[in-house]
Amino acid sequence: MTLQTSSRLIPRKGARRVWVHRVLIAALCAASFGARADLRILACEPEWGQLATEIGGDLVTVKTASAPGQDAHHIQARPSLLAQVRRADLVLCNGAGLEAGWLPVLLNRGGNPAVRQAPGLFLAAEQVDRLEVPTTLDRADGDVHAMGNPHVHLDPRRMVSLSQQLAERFATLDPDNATQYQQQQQAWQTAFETGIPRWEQQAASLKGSNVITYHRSWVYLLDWLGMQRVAELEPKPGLPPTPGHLAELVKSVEQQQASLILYRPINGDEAANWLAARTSACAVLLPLSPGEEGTETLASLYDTLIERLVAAQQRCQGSKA
Amino acid sequence: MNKFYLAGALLAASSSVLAAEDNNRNSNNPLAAFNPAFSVIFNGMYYHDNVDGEGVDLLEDADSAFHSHGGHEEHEHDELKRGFNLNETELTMSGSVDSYFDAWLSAAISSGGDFELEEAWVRSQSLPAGLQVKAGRFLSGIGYHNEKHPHSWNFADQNLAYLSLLGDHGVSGDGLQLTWLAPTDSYLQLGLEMLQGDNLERAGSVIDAEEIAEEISAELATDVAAEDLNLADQNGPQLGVFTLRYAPDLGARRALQLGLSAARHQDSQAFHEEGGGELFVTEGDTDVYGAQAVYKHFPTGQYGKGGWSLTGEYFHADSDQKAVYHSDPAELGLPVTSEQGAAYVEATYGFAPRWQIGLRTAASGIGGEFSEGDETEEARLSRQHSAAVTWYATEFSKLRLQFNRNDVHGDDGNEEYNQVFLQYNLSLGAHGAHSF
Repeated sequence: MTLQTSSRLIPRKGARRVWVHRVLIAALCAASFGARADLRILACEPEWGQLATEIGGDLVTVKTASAPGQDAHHIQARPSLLAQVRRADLVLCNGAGLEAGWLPVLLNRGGNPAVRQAPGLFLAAEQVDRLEVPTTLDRADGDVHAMGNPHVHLDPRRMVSLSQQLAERFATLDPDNATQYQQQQQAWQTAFETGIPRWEQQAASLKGSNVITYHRSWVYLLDWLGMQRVAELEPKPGLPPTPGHLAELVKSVEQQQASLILYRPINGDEAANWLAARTSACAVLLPLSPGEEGTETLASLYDTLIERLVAAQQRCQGSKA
Repeated sequence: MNKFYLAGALLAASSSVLAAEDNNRNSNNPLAAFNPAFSVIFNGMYYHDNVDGEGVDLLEDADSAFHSHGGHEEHEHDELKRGFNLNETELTMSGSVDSYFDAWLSAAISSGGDFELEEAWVRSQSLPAGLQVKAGRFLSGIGYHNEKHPHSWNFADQNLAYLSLLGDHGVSGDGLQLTWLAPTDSYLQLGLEMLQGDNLERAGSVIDAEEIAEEISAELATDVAAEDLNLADQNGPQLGVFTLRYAPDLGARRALQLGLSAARHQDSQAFHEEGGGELFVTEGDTDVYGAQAVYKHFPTGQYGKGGWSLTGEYFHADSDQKAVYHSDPAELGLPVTSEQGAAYVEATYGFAPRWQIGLRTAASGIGGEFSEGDETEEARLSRQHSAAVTWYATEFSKLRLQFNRNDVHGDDGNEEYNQVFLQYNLSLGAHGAHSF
């Protein structure tokens, strides 16, 4: 219809009309191609954007709401995210309360009924077992997540399970390519799973060690590698370290024989270095998400994490023994 | 009455606790969390000014082409007094009704115990093509700051620009809002609102005919009835609002939003009392145009450190009215026009973890002109400069110290004075949303 109308108009209305109609036709074609097979995904955090890319390959177009290194608790529901939600086939987020401050705003104002619940909405942490599920809830305890610790992506075993569930979800949303999603996921899993025993072997010396973390970001990593968190630099989750709390930590590092202090770039160096300077423990700066310095893929995130932990442990034994 | 609300509040609070316990199960739906989300916002301040506690009145009476008497601007506000003030306590409840609607309720309890329903709306969640409809009582999407609730303001008080043209509480009303979000990579939202328009405080305000008739009767010692004022019936929606918002995708670390608004109130009314003893009532339409720009640079450090924002808005209001009642019958039909601009710019900066500084400058009466027939009177410019330091103890509580330097032109001439606010603002209950 549009084509016929435009070709009839072209000879009468001159060159400008031709240009306008060519653009219109091009836009229509682009729109119809765009809607064909690609799954349009909005991922809340880089780890989920990366997983979707590694599983979905060329069949998916992924936008990520937060940049590597940003604090996912404190993202604003900025207008460009609403535009992404509007056109998304799948909103892929961490869930378990991590995005409580902004995801509801996106879903409520995005004008897209399809992504307000499954299958258009996939909340990763809620598809696997979680650690640290609280038995009581009180704001006086800080920013505690009712559904347990949300940072599940730091356990590669849980990521394998999630990759399968995500591929199934892709297949539900885009049945024409179901086989290809399954094949891509299997290829990914085969390669990824060879890493797990290697990482565990590399991290063998870390097993049984006690650590202090800045925030409760690392529990799944510690659980996987057999390490224990004995204290946190934050006096309560979401509250910055206080001098009084740090002073108490000096004692507990020695009592609990904590060897490492884990923190992220966004936490700043001050508190971790302050404690390291006064105790036998060493501060170690770690990436939380793929895309941060030294990491690109999910596999390289675990490579880097273990490499830095082991290196810090050896350095620390050398200098502080 | 208050016991009823208290009981309701307790019931809702206990149900949200139950909802929280339910959350331990896998829900796969963040919208189900704390449904309905219930919160109480506590707001109080220590206030001081160097004009005998008249600081807020002076600002409200700043020179304006939109002066009227007997309208809604004479609403009883919780006026600030020197010393301790309990500001409005806000109750909000929100959540998904079903897969078709979500809903929001907010009500304010004044320090005297008066209860006011501020918002009560339902919004569609199942329309296709990026369309959403909101119905009920709601804050209009006009401008940028208008939709913000006081607890999310960066300052303790309403800025002078809004105060002078849109009123202390901004534009809200009973009606319908239709928004359309374009299917584009950049954010483009169009909004259309139809509102009853019977509660505006400044531009577009209406008067209480009975009350004004009584006042005129008393002044002129004659019998003037409400019908003698010849005001049109205010049946049906009087206020239409159009909004356009655009935001390019600048990535995850910063955001820019630009917006335009236009509003028309088709039956604005005003009562005028002139120095020479002339009394008259006018009626006509009022147009408001607004432009806004908001830039935010998201924090790079912890707990908000390094984040900054810059917001500016300009409004222009223009009212064409005619005298429908005049104490001098020869002047009936006299054209009366008012026109005036107002603007504010505010900046915030997270200078340390959990600490934010805010600077704001606002002006009212920009290009203000009030004309009766051939006579034109200019409204003079009033200015306000503010600085605030806010400490966010957590996401749920903050303390703020604010200083205002005001230069206000009012009926009694020019007044330069200071205001100081020490404010606490706490939210008990559901996790607040970080809307843009």
